Amino acid sequence: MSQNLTFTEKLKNFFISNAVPILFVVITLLAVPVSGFSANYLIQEMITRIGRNSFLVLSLLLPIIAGMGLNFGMVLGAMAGQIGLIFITDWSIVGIPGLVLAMLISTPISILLGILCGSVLNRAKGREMATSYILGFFINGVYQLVVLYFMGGIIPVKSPSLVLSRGYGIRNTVALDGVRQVFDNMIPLKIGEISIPLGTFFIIALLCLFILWFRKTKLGQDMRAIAQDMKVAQSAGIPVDRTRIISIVISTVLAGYGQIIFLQNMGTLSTYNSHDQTGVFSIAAILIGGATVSRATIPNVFIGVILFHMMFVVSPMAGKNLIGQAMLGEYFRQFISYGIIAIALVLHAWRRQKDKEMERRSLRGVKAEKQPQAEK
Amino acid sequence: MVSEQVVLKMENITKDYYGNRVLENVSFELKKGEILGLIGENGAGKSTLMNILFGMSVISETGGYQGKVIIDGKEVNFKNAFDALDAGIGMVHQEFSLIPGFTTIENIMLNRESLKYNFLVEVFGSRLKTLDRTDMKDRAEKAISALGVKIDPNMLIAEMPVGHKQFTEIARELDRKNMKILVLDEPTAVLTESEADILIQSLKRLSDLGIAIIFISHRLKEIIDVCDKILVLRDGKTVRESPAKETSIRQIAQWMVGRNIEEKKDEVKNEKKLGDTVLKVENLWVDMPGETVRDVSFEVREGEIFGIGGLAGQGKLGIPNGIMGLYEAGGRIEVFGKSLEMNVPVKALKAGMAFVAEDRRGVGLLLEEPIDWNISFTVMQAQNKYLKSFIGGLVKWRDDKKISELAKEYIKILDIKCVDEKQPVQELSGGNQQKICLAKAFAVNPKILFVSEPTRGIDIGAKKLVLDTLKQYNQKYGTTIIMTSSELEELRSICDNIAIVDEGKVAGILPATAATEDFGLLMAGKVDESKEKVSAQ
Amino acid sequence: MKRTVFILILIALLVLLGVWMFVLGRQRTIVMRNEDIDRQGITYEAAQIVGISFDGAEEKEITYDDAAIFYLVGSSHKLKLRVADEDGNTLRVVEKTIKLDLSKNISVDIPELLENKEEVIKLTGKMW
Repeated sequence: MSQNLTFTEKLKNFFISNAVPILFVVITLLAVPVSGFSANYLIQEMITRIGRNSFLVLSLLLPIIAGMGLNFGMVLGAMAGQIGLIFITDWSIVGIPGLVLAMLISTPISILLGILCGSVLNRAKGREMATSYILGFFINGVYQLVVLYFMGGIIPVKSPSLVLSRGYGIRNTVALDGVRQVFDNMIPLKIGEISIPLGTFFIIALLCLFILWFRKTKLGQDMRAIAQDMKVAQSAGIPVDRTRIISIVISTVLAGYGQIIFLQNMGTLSTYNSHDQTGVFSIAAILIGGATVSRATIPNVFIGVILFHMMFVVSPMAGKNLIGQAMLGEYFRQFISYGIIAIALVLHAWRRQKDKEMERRSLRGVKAEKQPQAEK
Repeated sequence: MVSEQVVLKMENITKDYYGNRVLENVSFELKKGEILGLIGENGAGKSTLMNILFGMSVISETGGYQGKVIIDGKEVNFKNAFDALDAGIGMVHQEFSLIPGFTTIENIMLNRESLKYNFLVEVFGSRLKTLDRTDMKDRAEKAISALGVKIDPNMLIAEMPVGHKQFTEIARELDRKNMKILVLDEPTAVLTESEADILIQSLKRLSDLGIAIIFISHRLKEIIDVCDKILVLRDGKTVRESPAKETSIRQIAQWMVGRNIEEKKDEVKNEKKLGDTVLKVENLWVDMPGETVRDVSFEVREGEIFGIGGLAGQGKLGIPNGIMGLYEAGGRIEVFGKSLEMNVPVKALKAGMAFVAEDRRGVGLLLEEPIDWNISFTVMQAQNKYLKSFIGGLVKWRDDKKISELAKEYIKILDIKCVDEKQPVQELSGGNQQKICLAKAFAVNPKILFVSEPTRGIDIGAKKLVLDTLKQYNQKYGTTIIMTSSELEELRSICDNIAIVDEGKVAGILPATAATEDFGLLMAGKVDESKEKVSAQ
Repeated sequence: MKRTVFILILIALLVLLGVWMFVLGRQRTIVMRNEDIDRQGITYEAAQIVGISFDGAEEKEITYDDAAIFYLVGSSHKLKLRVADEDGNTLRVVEKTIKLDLSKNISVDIPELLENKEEVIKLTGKMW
């Protein structure tokens, strides 16, 4: 069917299916000269930000493959990652061992939260996104309770630099001096003026390989099947609910690691805010990269991170130069983040309805006549 | 090639649903490589029988069944469908159970993929094995070639013609290692004629391979063509079990529809004078899920009671819904010689048509509202009656007094059993609710009234009342009525002419006095034999 | 069954990895103090100036009654102490190997350390 399209049709299809990334390329191309940033600066920023954010965004892939949409529940993993970082800071475990230990600590927490999230989402089939978004808020409350009241009290955290002077609760900001950029500088590399976080890139590459491999496993195949038709998958004997939980668990664990990578690059943990926008920004990035609620690939992730963060970097300056207000850029980036998510959700609902209509249309009289005959 | 080895025996199967007997003492046996045709109208018990064979949870949840299912000489009692699959029973359902974005291979291999080991399996379980695509392709191609057809193994299901999807489903069942019995539920319903022929050929090949097949179809010609043996069910009982060679299509149709062939004939039909054509439908298609109408044309004359019959899912319900604009539709409709704008319900109402929907709880009634509101609702909407206008019509209020009067009138005419006209509709019995639906439609004073399944879910006494009400209304006011019903006898009792819809098309239009078996033939998709009668009409 | 065993082994390995990371990455805060101390009636006098260097890093100089903080990762370190008079003339240089346990905060009195004749010195402090 798709082979005999003309060139113009192909081109049209290309533009339609890549409308979002193309739009952002155009916006970026317009905004870059206005901002007045040097090429070197922008390249450095982009490289840093790819290292910082890609892992987080990649963690969104599995639930999309499993048909559960955009996993707003990834903030649960982010919180688990932060808890890991708080502990290693308290224990003053530094360097790569510190980060590895933080990951190890975050893993069981992420798994538990992932199972919780997955079980809740299984009861809210078809409404996963809204549910996971609200669940994120709820778990945020639990996180605050734990970090603000239990840590330093029930949970031993002793360092005076971490604990509030009243004796319990973690301070607003935690300096991650011991682990600052240790992944980034694991394998130092500088090309000209630009330093490249080769270590982090290496870890991200490993994750990409994992995802590619995972798609070839039975589990990955089951997830693809479930994504398309849960009932059919169920009747073929695939344990649908369990598989969906697994996909959320893996996503949550990866999000935890992603947050650790993100924060080691930042160098400071803002205890009560760092995870807040992790979900929204990661999701906005993957959508800008051309992913949809039901389809996402690894290239979507990287294109998205570059375009989204290019806009991030450029728009405040462009706003300032154009209108004299840097706040406009900040406004613009919030507006874009939430706007793009809203558009993606609406598009998804619309497209699903269209697909259903198309499917039924084939049953109608006029077309039924034209159906190809079975081969002898 | 039928051997003497019996693979499946069902003995004295009896099943009640909440005291309602749907199967009674049904027995049959199936030999290796034998093809059994299972025939019956909707509700004859075919699906229940197959559900029992498959150990579907519906059966155990509703109290199990009596009788024995014996496979290879051993009595079995499946707890769920997977047990049945393990025992070597495969089923191809009427609706496709395929993953649209997967290729043929992936669908045939769904959840039975060939896998390759890696060490992670030891910790994380066997689902971390990777797929062995080469082996999967080999197995899929083997299954496809067993069917004797050619399907591109790498084509996506979504891009395939329907016939190929059907073959993919069957190939999937064939790939199972110990496939012994294959159940096909209306496999040809979605196929074109030539595709169906290929399927029949494939089934014969499979039977040569020693697989026993239970073939459910309402196309009797196919049954005769392919089956070794037929089993006709009616009202949960075995009507006839006979070798296929010894029967004819006409005979089977008669067994299937069967009841009271002579009974109604003596009833004296009033010679009714029918007027001009009031409704003309040409090439109507309706996109109603589960009741797709593909290409329907008919004419209805003034004062006529026109019946639309046919098996469930063939599209008869789609026709009134499409004409009234409730589902997306196309084609041409002429009402009183004027063309009707489609897909706009208000236009249909304004053209003098009214509709009593089959789903009275969903569409037909506002259950929590009182009787009088329900009766007057459509009139208010469509004709602006029973409204008081203020400020030159800018503000309209309900005229409660007149509404009450209207309701009282209909409660009297239709003998609706209720406390008073303010009683909420949900407190009434099914039959009375149906009468409210009728009253609601009558209140519009329609020139053409569509009634869908007016007797569904109400008891026999109420059925008669409803039917009589329709008939009287037709005689008294000369209203043209178009009634859709699954029950042929019901249609025959009040209609002048009856169209039988099959696969979204009109199979034929017969006068109500025509022989039952002719209707049966039309329902069975056997158009040719009754065509002369249609043209003779 | 076999899988359960493997899962348990994996968890055990991960816990071990955690412990290893803890040991490997533990950063000790060492306070080197240069003040007079009393130990069982004997007074050890602090030097006027002490230069301290761990593992060949740049030397840190502290004066009498002063202290310096060092952050060390790992358990075994080379310590080089340079004792000098008020005018900065080096009196002697002492090199020692010190072994740290997992304590987080360790406090060291330099005069006592200088008196210790052993080549390898084990140090301990507060765990948290």
